[in-house]
Amino acid sequence: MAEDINFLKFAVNRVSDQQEFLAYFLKRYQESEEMSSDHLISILNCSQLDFYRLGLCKTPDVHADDYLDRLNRICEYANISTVELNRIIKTTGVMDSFAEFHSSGTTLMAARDKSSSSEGDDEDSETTNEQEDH
Amino acid sequence: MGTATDIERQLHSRVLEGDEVAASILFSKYSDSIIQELSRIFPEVVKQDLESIYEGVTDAFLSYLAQPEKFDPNKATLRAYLLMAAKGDMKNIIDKKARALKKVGQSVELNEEVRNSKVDEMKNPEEQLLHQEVLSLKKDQLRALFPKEIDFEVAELVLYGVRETGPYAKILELDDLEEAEQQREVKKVKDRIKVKLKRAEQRGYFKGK
Repeated sequence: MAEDINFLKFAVNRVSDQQEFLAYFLKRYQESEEMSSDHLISILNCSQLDFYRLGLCKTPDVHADDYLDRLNRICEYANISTVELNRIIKTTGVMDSFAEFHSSGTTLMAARDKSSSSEGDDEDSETTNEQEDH
Repeated sequence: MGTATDIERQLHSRVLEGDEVAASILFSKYSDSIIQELSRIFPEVVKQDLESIYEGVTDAFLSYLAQPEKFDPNKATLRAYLLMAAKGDMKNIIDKKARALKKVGQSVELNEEVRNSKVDEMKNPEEQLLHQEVLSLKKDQLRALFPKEIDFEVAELVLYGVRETGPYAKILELDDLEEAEQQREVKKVKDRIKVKLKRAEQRGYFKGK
């Protein structure tokens, strides 16, 4: 039975915010490189259908012992180069780690600011309470 | 009661084992027939809002992938399981859109029509699944009872509990008629089919087969 390419495209878009699907990595890579889907398809040297099939594959665990085997199986299924897919996964992984680190640093700084600010508030409120007691 | 085919069992095992490619195969191989089945049941939705069907099917597939252990291959086919889940998800999506449309005062005629379907009233996925399985079990008997293809298809819709005129009108090729006339013609055929179904049931035609 023929595949409905419009549906596959819809499904890929739908899961592109879920890290467990490769669609997430393809989308993040496109955004970071500011390239269209068509451009990425030409880099991967595959058909549009293969591209959507690829997006609907689950993401292999990069820390798994058999990561390369899993990667090879995906690439064989989607008719794309293992080197290219590995590069996309690793590049996106690094970007995510950096974004997470940056975000946690900002959160920490914000927490510190809030903490020192609330300490000041506590002192103020104690002073106010003392004044009210009198 | 239908059970999963060998191919379905293999794919299900791969999903359970965490095979990365299995999810994509599921989308590629099963979506089209399920979309077609939903389109046949809800032709009006296809015409006006194909995306609702896509959403329903995607949600159903993602639910299965999130909890594949809930599917028992000894109780149903994977296709039937996914179809029932998609119907339920589609109903929720249509309801949600209908509520949103109502808020902005737009027409919700289509959504009301779809919501009124008895199929959609079966909220429990297991109940829906059972209904589907009973239907598949009786399909051969139904074919024997209604040798004419058109009658068989109408009977199938009656048993599915479809109430809207659209699907029947399409099968009976009444699309060119005025709506009121379509309803009259559809009612005539449905009544005839229902009488035949009732008589068959009364004489125990579907029992024990």
